[in-house]
Order: sequence, then structure tokens, then C-alpha cells
Amino acid sequence: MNSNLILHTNKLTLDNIVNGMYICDLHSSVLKNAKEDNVFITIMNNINSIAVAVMVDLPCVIITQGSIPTTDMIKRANEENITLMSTKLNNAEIAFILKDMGL
Amino acid sequence: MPKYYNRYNIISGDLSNAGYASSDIKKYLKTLLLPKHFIKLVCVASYEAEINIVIHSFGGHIDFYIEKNTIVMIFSDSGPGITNLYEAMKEGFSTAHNNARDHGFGAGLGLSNIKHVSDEMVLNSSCEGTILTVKFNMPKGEWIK
Repeated sequence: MNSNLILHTNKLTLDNIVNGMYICDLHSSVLKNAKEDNVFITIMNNINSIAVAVMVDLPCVIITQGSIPTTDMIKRANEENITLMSTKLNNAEIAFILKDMGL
Repeated sequence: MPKYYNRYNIISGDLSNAGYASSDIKKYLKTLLLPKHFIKLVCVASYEAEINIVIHSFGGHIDFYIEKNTIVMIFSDSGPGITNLYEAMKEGFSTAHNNARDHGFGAGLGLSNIKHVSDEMVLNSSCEGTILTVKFNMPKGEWIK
């Protein structure tokens, strides 16, 4: 895994298959526009980001700019088998890295 | 009699539990083997409306049922009501407080999202409460019996 990313959920969640990404901090926009299997990149480190990911089948959530996921967020992500990661980078920086990784 | 009926209580201000009713609705729809894109539309409407009750109302509930191949969701709360329905339906208009915005809500997109994804949407509001009825016609297929 890239050194910029910290994994918060159990290692099994790394088996999730992703395709493309959606970057947004407004949950309504995510609900409307994100596509199934997108990586969801956001600064919002609260449980609602996971709830949104569950609704529209986003298997991976990356919390940016050094925000630390809350414990209830990590618990819910594990329950829903969603990969939850965080990074010190901002939304755009991590998106470019994921693009270089082939996403 | 509806084929399936469920009622969910929604607590005002409880953002950390917001989405559980919609999540449960999604799980049920999955058991019907409905197409994924259709389930997503129902879930978007359900989640937006559930969050609206949490953020804006004194609390309320969701009635979910399926009748004659139509999914019906009725979101009702006990006030304070929407002052101007016309404004509320506009994209970008929001009366959400800062706590909701800090959680990624309050962009003023919720009701227009619901209108966009649903087959029928009826919104009634007074100071005693708001009732939002959202309907989806189930796509044709073997899940319709």
C-alpha cells in the first residue's frame, strides 16, 4: 500500500475492488453523482461519510488532510466491509497518486 | 394489505445514527433481487429524507411499504414545518445549522435530489409537521408477483 495512506479497517477490507473515484465533501452530491465502486475521497471524518458510502455502494473511503476517522466511523466501516483509509495529503494530491497507481 | 410494511422512528439531532433506517431499507430491497441501479435511487431518496428529519425536525418516522408494485415511503415529522416550500425545493437553498454542515449536509440539495430520483413526490408542510411521500414504480421483472 502507498506510504501516504493509513489503513484503519481490518486487512480483509483491502480485498475490496474499486473502479474510479469521486471527490466531494457534500454528501448530497455524492449520493447523486458517485458511481458504484468509486473510491470516495473526502475531508469529512464522521460516520455519515460511511453511511453515504453504504447507500451508493462505495467500497473505499479515504479521509484527507490529516483528519482522523472517529472510532464509531471505523467500527461502522468494518461492519459494512468498507476500506477506510486516511492521508495527510489533500483531496487533489491523493487523487493524482491514485491515478498514477492505475485507478 | 401491503405486501411489506415497516416503520422506523427517527430521532431529532441524532446525526451519528442517521442512515440506519435507509440502510435497513436497502438490505430489504436487496433481498428482493431488484436491479442495483433501482435500489440506489430508492436509497438516495430515503437517505436524504431521513437526514432531513434528523437535521430539521423535532423527530418523526418513516413508513415504508410496497403496494401494487409501487414502493411507498412516507416521511412524517412533528414540526416545526417548512416555511416556504417553493424556496425549499430550490437547489442550494438551505436552513441547516452549522453542525449539520460540519457533517457534510445542508447543501440545499436534498429535496431536489429526491424529486430527481423518484417517480412521484408529494410534500406537505405546516407548523405541526411535514409529510413527504415518495413513490417508486418497481421495474418489470420476476420480483413482481
